[in-house]
Amino acid sequence: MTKFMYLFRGGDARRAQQSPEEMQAHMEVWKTWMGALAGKGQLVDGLPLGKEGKVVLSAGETITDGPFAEGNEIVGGYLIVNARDIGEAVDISKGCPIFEHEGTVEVREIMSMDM
Amino acid sequence: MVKEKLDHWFRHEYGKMLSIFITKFGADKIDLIEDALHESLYRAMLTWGYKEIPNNPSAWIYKVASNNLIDHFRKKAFQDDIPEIAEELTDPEFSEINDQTLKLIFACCHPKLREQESIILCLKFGAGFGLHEISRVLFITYEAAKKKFQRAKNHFKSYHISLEIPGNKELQSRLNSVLKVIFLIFTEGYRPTEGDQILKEDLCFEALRTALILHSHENLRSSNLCALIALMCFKSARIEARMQGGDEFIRLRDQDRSLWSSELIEEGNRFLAQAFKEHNHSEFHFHAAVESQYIQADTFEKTNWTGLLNIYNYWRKLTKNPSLELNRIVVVMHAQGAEKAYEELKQNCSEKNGYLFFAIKGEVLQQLNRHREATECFLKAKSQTKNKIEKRFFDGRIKFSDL
Repeated sequence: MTKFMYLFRGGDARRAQQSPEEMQAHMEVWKTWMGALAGKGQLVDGLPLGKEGKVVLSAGETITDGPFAEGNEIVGGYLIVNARDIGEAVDISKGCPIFEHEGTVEVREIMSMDM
Repeated sequence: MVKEKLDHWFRHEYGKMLSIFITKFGADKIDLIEDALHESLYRAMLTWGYKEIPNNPSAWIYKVASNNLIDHFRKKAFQDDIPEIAEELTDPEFSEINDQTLKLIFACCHPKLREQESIILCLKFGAGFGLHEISRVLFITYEAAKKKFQRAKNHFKSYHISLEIPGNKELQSRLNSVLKVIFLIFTEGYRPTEGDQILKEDLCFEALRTALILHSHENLRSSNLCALIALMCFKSARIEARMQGGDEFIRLRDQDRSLWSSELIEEGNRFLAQAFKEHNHSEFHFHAAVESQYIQADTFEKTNWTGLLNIYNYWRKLTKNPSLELNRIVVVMHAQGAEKAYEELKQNCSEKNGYLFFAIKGEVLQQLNRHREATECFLKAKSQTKNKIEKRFFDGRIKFSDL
C-alpha cells in the first residue's frame, strides 16, 4: 500500500451561495464519503486549510500575507489515503463531494522511505 | 448531537445566532453578521464533515463567528466598538434560544415593514432559509428574491428596529402581526399558489415550529395563538395523506384517513381546548373549529355538516370574506342539498373571487347533473390557477363530468 495526497481546489463560488440547509446537507455528504473511506481502511487523515496564511521567502526575509491566488488555484484542503497505486487513488477520489461544487482534486503520491 | 436533533440544525442555528449578534452589535451591522455567520457555518460544514461534530456545536459556531466579527472590527479600527466587544467574549446563555429567535421574529414583523417583507425576513433571518430556497417557496425568481430581501433588509436597518419583545401595550398588536405572518407562511406551504408541488412541508414545519416557540413563553400564550396552533396541527395531520398520490391532488373526501397523524390531531385538540377557554374569538378560532369538525369525522360522509354550517353562519356575521363564503357553500351543499347551495352561491359569491369560485360552482353544478355547465366552470378554474397540480385536478373533474 502506498500513501497518496489529495489536494482540493475550488468550489468556493458555489459554496458562497449555499443556504444553511444546503451546507448541512453537504456536510453530511462529506461525512458519509469520509466514513466510507475510513471503514475500508483507506482514510489516513485530512482537514480543510485556512484561507488566510503567510508566504515566507528567503528564510524569512520576506513574509507576506497570502497566497492570494484565484479561488480555483488555492488549495482549500487535503486528504491522505491508502491505495495500491495511483489508479486506485484516482478511483477513490471520484466519489469526492467537492465535485458537486465544481472543485478539483489533484492526486499525488507521497514518496515513501521504503524501496 | 443525535441525528434527530440535527434536522435543520444549521438553519435554526443561523436564526438564533443572527439574533444574538444583532442584539449585541446592532441591526446596522447585519451585513457583516450575515457574512460572519455564513463563514462560520461553512467552516463547520468542512471540519465537522471531515472529522466529528464537537460536544458543544452552538458554542463552536458562536466562537468562530464572533472571532470573525471582532477581527473585522479591529481591522476597521472602530475604536468605540472595541471595549464593547471585549465584554462580549463570554459565551452567551444558549438556554435563551427561544428568547433570541422570538425577538428576531417580532422585529421582522414590525408594523413599518410590508407583509411580504416580513415574510421574507422571517424566512431568511428567523428560519435561516437561503435565497434559493426562498425563491422556490415563494415562487419568485432568484433575482427577485435577492432584490426583495435587500430592500426588506434596508428597511429593517433604516427603521432602527430594536430586537426587543414589545411592551404590553404594543405586544398584542405586534403578536397579531406575527400570527398573521406565521399563518401566511403556513398557508403558502400547505396549498402552494404556484409551481408544481402539492405542498411544501418545510414551510408548514417552520410555521408550526415558530408558533410553538411563541407558546413556550407564558406571556405570549394568547388564545389566538392557541387557536392558530390548533388549526395548523389539524391541517398538518393530513400532510402525509395528501402526499400519497405522488403528484396528484387528493381531496379531503378521498384521503386515506388511516394516514392522518393521530398525534398531531391530539395536539390540535389540546390547543383547541386552551383556545376556547376564553370568550374572545378571532378568525383563527373559527378556522380551527371548522378544521376540528372535518378532522374528527370517521368518514367524509359522516362529517357533522350541520355543526359546520353553524360555525360558518356565526363566523360570517363577524367577517366579510369571500373565501369563507365559498367554503361555506360546500358545507351548504352537503347539509342542505345542491339546489340550496346553488342559490346561496349566486347570492353570496362572485366570479371576482377567482378560481375557487369556479371550482366550487363546478362541484355544485355537477351535483345538479348540469354537466356541460360544470365543465365550463372547471375549465375557467383551470385557466385561473397557476399551480400545475391543481390544473391536472381540474382536468380530472372535467373528465368525470363528461362521463
